[in-house]
Amino acid sequence: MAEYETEEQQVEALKDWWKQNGMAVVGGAVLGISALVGWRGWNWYQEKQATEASDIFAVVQEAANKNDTTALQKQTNILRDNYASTPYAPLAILHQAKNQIEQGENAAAEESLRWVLKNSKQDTVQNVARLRLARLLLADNKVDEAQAMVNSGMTDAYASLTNEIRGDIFVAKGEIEQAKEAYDQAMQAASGAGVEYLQLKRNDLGS
Amino acid sequence: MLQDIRDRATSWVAYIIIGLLILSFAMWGIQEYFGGGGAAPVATINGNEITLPAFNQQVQQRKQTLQSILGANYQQQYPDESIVRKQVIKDMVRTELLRQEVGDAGFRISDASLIKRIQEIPQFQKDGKFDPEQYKRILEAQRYNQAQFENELREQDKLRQFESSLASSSFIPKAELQRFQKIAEQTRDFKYAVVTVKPETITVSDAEIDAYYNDNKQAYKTPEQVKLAYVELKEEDLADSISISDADAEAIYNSQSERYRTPELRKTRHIMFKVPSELDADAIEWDMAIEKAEGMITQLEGGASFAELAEKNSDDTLSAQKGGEMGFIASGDFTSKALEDALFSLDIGGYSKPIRTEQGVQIIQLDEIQASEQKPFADVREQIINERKGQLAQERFIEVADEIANLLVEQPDDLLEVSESFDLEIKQTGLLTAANNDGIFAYPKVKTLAFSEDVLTENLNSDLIEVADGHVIAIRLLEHKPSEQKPVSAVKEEVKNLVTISKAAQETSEHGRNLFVKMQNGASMESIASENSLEVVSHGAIRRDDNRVPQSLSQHVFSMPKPAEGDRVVDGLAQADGSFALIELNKVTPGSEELDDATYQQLSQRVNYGRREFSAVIDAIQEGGEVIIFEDQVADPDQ
Repeated sequence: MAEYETEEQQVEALKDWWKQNGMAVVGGAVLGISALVGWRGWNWYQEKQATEASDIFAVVQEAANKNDTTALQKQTNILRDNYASTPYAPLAILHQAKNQIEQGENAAAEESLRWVLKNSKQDTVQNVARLRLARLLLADNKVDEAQAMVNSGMTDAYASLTNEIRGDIFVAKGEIEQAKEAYDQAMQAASGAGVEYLQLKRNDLGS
Repeated sequence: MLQDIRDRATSWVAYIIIGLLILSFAMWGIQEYFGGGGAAPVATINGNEITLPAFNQQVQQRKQTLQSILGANYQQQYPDESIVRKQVIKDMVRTELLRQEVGDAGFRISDASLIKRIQEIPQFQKDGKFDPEQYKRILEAQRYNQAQFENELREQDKLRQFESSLASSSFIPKAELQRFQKIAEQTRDFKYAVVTVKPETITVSDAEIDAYYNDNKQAYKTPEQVKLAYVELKEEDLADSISISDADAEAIYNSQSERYRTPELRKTRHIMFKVPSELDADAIEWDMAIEKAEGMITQLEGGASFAELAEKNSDDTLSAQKGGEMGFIASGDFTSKALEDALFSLDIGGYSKPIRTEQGVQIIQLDEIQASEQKPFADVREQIINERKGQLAQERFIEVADEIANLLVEQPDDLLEVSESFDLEIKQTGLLTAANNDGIFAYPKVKTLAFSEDVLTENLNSDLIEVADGHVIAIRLLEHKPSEQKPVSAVKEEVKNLVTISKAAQETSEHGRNLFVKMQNGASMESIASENSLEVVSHGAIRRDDNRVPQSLSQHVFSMPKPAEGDRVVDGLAQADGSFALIELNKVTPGSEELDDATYQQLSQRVNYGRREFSAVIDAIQEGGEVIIFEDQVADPDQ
């Protein structure tokens, strides 16, 4: 920084500087502050959306517990139409898919799961939807589509579940040896509880 | 420079600087300048730290829970803290990962739902209704700060939303359940014959015994044993030897007389107009409640009875029935400071202005004052003496333990000096092995030291071991019996039995396998059975859970390949008791495809992918996260 001989000179220099750059400084500050206000406002809006969606989701869960199809559908539609950017819309639609399966509406359930796959921002939820979709496609004899589902981008964490579905697909195609191998891999990757059915399917193919 | 700013504090420069400062604080909040810092973390999860104090607190909580569940078995199952600590850090990492997942994804809990959740927790309820006083009291007793507690509940609720919705929205397509039923309800027609073990037909030579003994020498050793001398010091014993005279006790009583007073109690009535607590501070409901309360004041001024007004108008229905009685209130009982201040400035019979509290608008009346009273010395004498004894014993214990610890090092070759100086008895244990948990071997730390180099080989005094709060032990070795090889003559019978059983099992299995080969070559099970006097067992069509057939056998049969129509599949199975089962499977019949609604519901509970899907989700989050655990921080500091 340059040296000034007296304080008066220093003040003069400051004033000059302000004359030249004052507008830019004020303009910059106004711009910065309005960006901040905008950002805060956006955050506030997001928070508001999320908490509202959260409360609606509580109603969805209750309706799902009580098997109240009408309420479930109504609240889920609200979430899908007005709160699609929140994590609650895809979760509500997972509940809806289950309800549709129970009503025997497999095609509608398939559509629901595809919506989740497309719209959820959580990889985890997408992958769960993918697994469920694969099981549903297989049950409806859409073997190749099911195959495509489990072949795409699932990490090691899902190995037990994907291998189980691959085993099911092999059984559906009558390829028993490959099915045994897939089930064995599924058993190996399983982390404990909940494998009763998997073990049954494997044993049924003979040792 | 600073001087200049001060001189020009009135000038435009200062306004701009101050303006910018105000803005920046308003925008970001001051707290962000004071976060973090301090000790090394136990783990970092995507950059977020788990601090040592937070970790230690969880470890303590977990230990208390385990101790209350396991009781005396706790020491056995968790000889040192390291197992608990590893479990705790694993759980904390998992929770933090999930917390980040739901946080990033945008999960939120509304204030209204949080309030509802808190009000539904039974511990915070009194007579089936949420009681804010109780809520506050319990939090204080648990050393929770309210904001922190509510924040943790919020986090928990987010995790619950995520977990429960993934787990409970899982489903099984109907076709898949039919397949499950066909397999699960399948029946199999089979018969089997068991070749049993016959140890009585087996002879064992001395040479065989020697050979087995030589191959398994390790199994025939006496365990290493130690006999110990020890001294122990307990705080409670010190307390017994301390006596406090009445004069001393009275002196304490006089010097701290304010501790021995009953609190002043004020018998209080109230009239309450509730306002739902989730409403904003400027909601219209507040104005309405205040207006109603003002109406009460007017009537009171006109001479109306407080009790009658309470009965007719108060929203606190329980107390309303008793004319608004709240009972005796001590200072600190009210959460609301305004309420407390009002109560303690009233004269008997006087009533307050309407007061805004967390629950609504309240008016209180003071009925009666029970003055604070000095408890007489005789009533608190015992308590004072015990407290003082405890204090002195604790001080003395720390002092003595310290001196003993020094003496053990200065005079490392016997315990006599310690025993004489502090009048402690030298006690002895019997011969103990490392597997023993008797007497002082109930304390894992004592056991570890007993077999340590200093005690066992160097024959020195051990350090002073703190085995529990206010309880220390020092040991030294009296006698050491090293592990010895038992001669074969001493264990001959034992070895002979083992050899007999293994030879019998081997013979049975060889015999069984020969018969199995004959069956494979076409012999019928009946002819083989009659030639070898075996019994053929058959129950016709059997379900997999039929308990007439041993479970391991049935499991094997249900994983055998299926025979073609009219054909058979034969197999042999060496069983755990040494016997050998010959099996002939004749027919496999799948279960029914029919699924009624009830069965559908029941089966879809049984075959549920929800749990597995959620645990895969956790694994996936863990895979994708950057988790660093600092093992040296996790490790038990005492070890």
